[in-house]
Amino acid sequence: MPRVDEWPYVIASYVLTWAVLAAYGWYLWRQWTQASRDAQNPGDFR
Amino acid sequence: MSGLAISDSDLRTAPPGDGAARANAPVVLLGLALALMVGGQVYGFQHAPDRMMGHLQKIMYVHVPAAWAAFVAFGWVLWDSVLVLWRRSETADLRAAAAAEVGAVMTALTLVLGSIWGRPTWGVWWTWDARLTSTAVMFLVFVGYLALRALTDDPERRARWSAAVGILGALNVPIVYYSVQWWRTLHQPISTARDLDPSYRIGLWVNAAAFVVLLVGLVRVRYGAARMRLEADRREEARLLGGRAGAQRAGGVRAS
Repeated sequence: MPRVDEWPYVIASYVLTWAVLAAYGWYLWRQWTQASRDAQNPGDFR
Repeated sequence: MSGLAISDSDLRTAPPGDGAARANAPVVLLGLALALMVGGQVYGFQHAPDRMMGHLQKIMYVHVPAAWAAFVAFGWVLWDSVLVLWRRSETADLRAAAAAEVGAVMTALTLVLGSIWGRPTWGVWWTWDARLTSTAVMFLVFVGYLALRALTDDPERRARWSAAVGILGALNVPIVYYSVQWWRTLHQPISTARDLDPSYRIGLWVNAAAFVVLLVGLVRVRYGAARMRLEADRREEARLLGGRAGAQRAGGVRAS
């Protein structure tokens, strides 16, 4: 069986890992900063 | 007011926003995780390709640590879920929810990375293999856990229901782990670091440490945000109730 080109799969794995972790980290950071702001300024949110 | 108790242990794990040191802890953890990930991945890429798998072996440095981090997260859910049922701890409830969410993200990553690894190795993106199927079931249980939390506004009921599902979900971890021994599967059997070539072993351990530190950092951020949101909501509720009561006292609320 001919050997497949391995690099596209390796690169896709690492790009996906970093993209998912960065996106989720960003989402959490926004949750944190928004909650922090709301906790400090009651009545100022929503 | 919820029937969940604020225990001494809750006070010891008070909101991360309470002090500068607490607020900085997730940043330190995430920074450490980032450094370990970069270091572990650079180290892993410097070694010769595997005799059997070639360069595909490098996917191990992200796929396996993501799976291990998910196992740690669901063990955390189990611990905190027991605390919820036993001590009715609100902190444990919020922390279990945070660990479940981060664990679900890690499991999703594990499944997709495994699929990318499986395509060139097995010739298929997905197969109903015992390891893959049990991991997918575990993922769906925790997606259900997160969905369940949105179903009710009663904090005590939400905590009890989700603790029960969290414990059931965490029982999937040994099933996933031993699935490759209990059933015939395409997935490789349980391997330990001893089975690995030493040149791959260090890279795997560094990346595993990176993912576990990352998990702890992300859970702390998620928990901190949930705690601050809860306090902001309670303060707002108290302010509105206080304002209405004050208005009533002053005759400001007219009968319609």
